[in-house]
Amino acid sequence: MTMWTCIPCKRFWHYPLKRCAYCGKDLAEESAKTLTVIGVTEVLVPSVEHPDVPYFVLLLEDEKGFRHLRKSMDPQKVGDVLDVKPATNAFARIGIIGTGAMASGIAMSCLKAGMPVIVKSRKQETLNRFQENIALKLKKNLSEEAVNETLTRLELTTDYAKLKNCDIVIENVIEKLDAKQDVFEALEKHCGPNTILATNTSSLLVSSLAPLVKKPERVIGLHFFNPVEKMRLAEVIAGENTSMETVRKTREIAEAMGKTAVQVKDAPGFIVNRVLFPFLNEAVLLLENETANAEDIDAAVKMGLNHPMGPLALIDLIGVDVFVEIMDNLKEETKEQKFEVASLARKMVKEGKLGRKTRQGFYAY
Amino acid sequence: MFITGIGKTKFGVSESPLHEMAYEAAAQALHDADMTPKDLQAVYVSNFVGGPDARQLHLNAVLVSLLQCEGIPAFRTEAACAAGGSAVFQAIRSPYDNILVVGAEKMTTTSAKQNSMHIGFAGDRLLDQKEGLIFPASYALIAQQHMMTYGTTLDDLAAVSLKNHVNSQRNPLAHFAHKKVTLEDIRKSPIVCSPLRLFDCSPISDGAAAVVLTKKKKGNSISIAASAMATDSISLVQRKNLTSFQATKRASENAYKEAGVQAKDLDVMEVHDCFTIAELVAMEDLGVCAPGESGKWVREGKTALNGELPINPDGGLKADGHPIGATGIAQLVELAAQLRGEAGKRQVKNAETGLAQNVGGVGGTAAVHILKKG
Repeated sequence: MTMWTCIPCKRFWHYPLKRCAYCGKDLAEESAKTLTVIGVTEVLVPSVEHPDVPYFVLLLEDEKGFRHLRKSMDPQKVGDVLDVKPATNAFARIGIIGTGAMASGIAMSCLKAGMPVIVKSRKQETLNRFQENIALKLKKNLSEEAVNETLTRLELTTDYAKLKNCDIVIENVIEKLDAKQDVFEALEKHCGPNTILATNTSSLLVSSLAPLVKKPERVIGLHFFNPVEKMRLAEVIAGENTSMETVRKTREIAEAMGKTAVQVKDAPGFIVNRVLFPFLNEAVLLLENETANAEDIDAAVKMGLNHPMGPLALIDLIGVDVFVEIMDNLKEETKEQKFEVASLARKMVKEGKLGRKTRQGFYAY
Repeated sequence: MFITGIGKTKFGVSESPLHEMAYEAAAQALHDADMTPKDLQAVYVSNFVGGPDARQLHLNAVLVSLLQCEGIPAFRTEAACAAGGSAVFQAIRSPYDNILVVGAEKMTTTSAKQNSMHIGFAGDRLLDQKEGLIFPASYALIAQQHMMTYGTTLDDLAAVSLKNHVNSQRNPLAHFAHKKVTLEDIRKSPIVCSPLRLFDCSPISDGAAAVVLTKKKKGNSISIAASAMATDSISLVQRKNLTSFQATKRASENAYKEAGVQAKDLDVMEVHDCFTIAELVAMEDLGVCAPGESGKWVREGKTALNGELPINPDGGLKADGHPIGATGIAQLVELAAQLRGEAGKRQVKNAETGLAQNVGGVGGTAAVHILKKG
């Protein structure tokens, strides 16, 4: 809600233009202080860029009489006065533990949203590679100046002490309880008392990490999906002791990253994996029982359920071993028979057919 | 300049691809003018979403290829929904004596979500599109402002919709030629963008229309008494007043001056009713009635086929259809048919002078043409 003005010519633009086309002088920036709703329409038809309806388009007038449009998911009435929000989460500083695909995707999403990011790993060498990779990705659609500006917001460290002032630290180390426990012990020691400690776990319970921390109310699950930059969802998992304030702030940060946050209790598999894994397992069982072949199972799900890829191809992508491991975790935690993994999958792991990474899974690669 | 030949395909859902419809309208117009493609010195093609919807751009070359009149200059004109009026405006000012202007659009093979986005391309990318201001949302805000300023009602809007649907039933080439619409249907239709309902919106149509323009008068020629075009800021946020379109006012002032007529001298009008509210705003901007009076005029039947000043006898964009690039040309085809006395069941009695108003975007561009008999 900023205007660019040429004071001598008394001309105004809604765009960040460099100079006045009339006198050639530089334009000055002026931000609105108050915005009054002078028109509103509720949009009920979806379009490609605005698929979630209903939403509202507000016609606003600021204290100088300049008009603006703003999309809002909340209803407003003509005459309402809106707060002029400062740039969202301009101050949020995000700590990221790990340098894998998830960590990289989370870092990219935060950087694109204008947040400062600090990434911690054990080795300087992996950090350097991480940074090069991020720079390459940024260069694809940003100018050189913008890439450089973005990289000034990316800090790399091997030292936990540097995470002291983060608003949130998101841990992305391997899905082993002891590895994650080590990270949480270090975070407890080095982070400020108000830093939210988040785990991007997909299969462990948040409550299994909370006891390691003096203030368990600041521990939360924040589960992203691969590839993070493309997948819009973030599961926010409140453990038994997680405070409302921690939940609120975490949701805010996830939303500032451009994600839609859903809230879920600390339960095995949360929402997505709880639904997905028995579904994948069912596909393996169909193959095991020779009800249909792999290609037809995948084709049926893709076209009949409008999934972007078939379940067997997806297991190959995840890794057959990882699939078995997650199924076993779900079974262990729920004690429910429906999470018993298909024996064909176990057999494939024994034979070293782990999917794409070994070039042989349900399909040959 | 004269309109010497006219052609139009059926508007609506067509199985023909873009180029076949354009060819059909062009061939009809040439035949009507008693000319062949070899008589042409230039071709103007009006089109808006040929790229995103029909995956066909470079339509000027497509048309000369189809008509086998390669060699002559040809142009494609895009000015959002005012592409047609703008093409005619440019053709009239060109140095050529015999010109074909053809407008065509293929829209019904595209999904509704895609079409909403593509039509939205006519709005400002940053100020409008990014904030979710699809086209019905723009006109919804205008309707709301008109209601708050003048007390215009949903019944006024419904009266526009009903009149245009009734007219379209007398027009065999209209999108809704065979659809019976009652006031009840209009009132019960779902809300698209509050306060506008489905029946306040023009449909997504396929179709083509063409005119042959000649410097010399021939037997059937209708005279172009005025041709004017004007612009305004593109985004709603850049305007102080949303209940009136400055581009229409500017263009019509010049057109009335050029033709030496006033609104009260007109016998028939084609206005750009992409949404019902747009017809009301057009009536006020074109000087048909005072600001705030348009709703009453329509409700009293003054703009019906047998009224004081029939507006959109063909059904307008609302019911004749709105294949965007063809729309501005189709308005002139209708006026020419009316002035020739060839409009069949929807013939306006003693029509001698007519006006067409074609609007692009939410009033960013407006073209106004005035035609006279003989």
